Amino acid sequence: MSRELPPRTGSRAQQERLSRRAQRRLEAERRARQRRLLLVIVPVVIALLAAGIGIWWSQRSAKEVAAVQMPDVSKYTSVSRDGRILGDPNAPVHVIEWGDYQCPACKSFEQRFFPTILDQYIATGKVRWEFRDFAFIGPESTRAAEAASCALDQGKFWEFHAALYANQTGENVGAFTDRRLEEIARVVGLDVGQFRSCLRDGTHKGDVQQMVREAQSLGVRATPSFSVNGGAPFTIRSLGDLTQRIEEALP
Amino acid sequence: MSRFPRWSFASAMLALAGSGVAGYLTLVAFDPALLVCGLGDCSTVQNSPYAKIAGVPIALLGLAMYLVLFVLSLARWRWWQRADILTSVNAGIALAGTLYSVYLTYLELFVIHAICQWCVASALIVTGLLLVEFWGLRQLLRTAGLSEQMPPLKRARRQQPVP
Repeated sequence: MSRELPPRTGSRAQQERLSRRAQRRLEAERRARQRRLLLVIVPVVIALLAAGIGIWWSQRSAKEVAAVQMPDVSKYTSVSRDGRILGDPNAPVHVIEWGDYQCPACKSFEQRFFPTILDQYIATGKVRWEFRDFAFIGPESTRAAEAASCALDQGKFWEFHAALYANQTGENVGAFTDRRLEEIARVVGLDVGQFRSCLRDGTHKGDVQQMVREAQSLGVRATPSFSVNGGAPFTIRSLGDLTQRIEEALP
Repeated sequence: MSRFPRWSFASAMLALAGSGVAGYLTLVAFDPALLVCGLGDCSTVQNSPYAKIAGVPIALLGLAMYLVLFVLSLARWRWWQRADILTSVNAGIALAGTLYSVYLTYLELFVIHAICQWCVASALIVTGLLLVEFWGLRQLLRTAGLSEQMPPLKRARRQQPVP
């Protein structure tokens, strides 16, 4: 660091010149002090602000995923299952349900009616139940359906399926962003790394598209739609509409 | 004091080390298979809801911070006459980084209940940078005050040869 001395004034320099120098010196000193203060205070204040904003943002962002809940899935684990199919593979009646994970009616069916179907028909070996995707509400529907297929790869399709409905918050409102889907995978107990790459690589994108096209060609127009033993798809107004069809199909 | 004091060299090295750690954690954020964790539970930490801000892995933000610190350290050598401003900027960045690391370490200890060796390493490095940069800033401002105006009389006198 160079440090130059100002030219020294002789002891006989004029009084007036000295005082002017002194004034200038004081002024320069004041400015230097101000500058030093600025060079310390400005970065400290900005750093405090930046860290504060970062922490606030992190908390907000974490809250979004912290709200993800794990529903009770014991009802699914108590019956035999194979991928998307729940129940005895030799059951006389085969029911297909087409759903969209963003559809409120599907959620309502899943939570209000499905436990009854499960107890009375699936657990008793009368019905084998298959869920197929009819993802049509928006990109998040497709993403959730793909995610469910990724969960299927890890043998936890039904747990993930239930968790998706439990964490449905509305249509296209960010309930099934990749970040939330990852968090759902975490609470379901999947290998998150594997799940993440499955979702990122679009491993099941084609499968979901295929399922939707197939449903459309079969005449599915709304969710949830059902088909009993390969019959034409239909929608229901009450649980009775569905159980009646099942009863009719039972031998 | 030499033109390139030791503290500025130490700062550049710390920033480089920090870039290494944060760069590695950024890779892990994109490919979890790369995670090597001898101490602690790194994957719990990496998979926690706090590991990302709005979808961006915080390791990537850390990497950006260390790289900026490193580049500014190089700039400080190139333009030493502006060392005070550059050090002030670096000190500010290091302070923000340290405060955020304190927050993250708090989360690891009391919220996630898992600690990750790489995160601890980064927290120590950024704290080191904070100390070095503020120490350097203090040195620079002390001497800057002298170079800009007059040296105090006492000092000037001391520099005269003693008979």
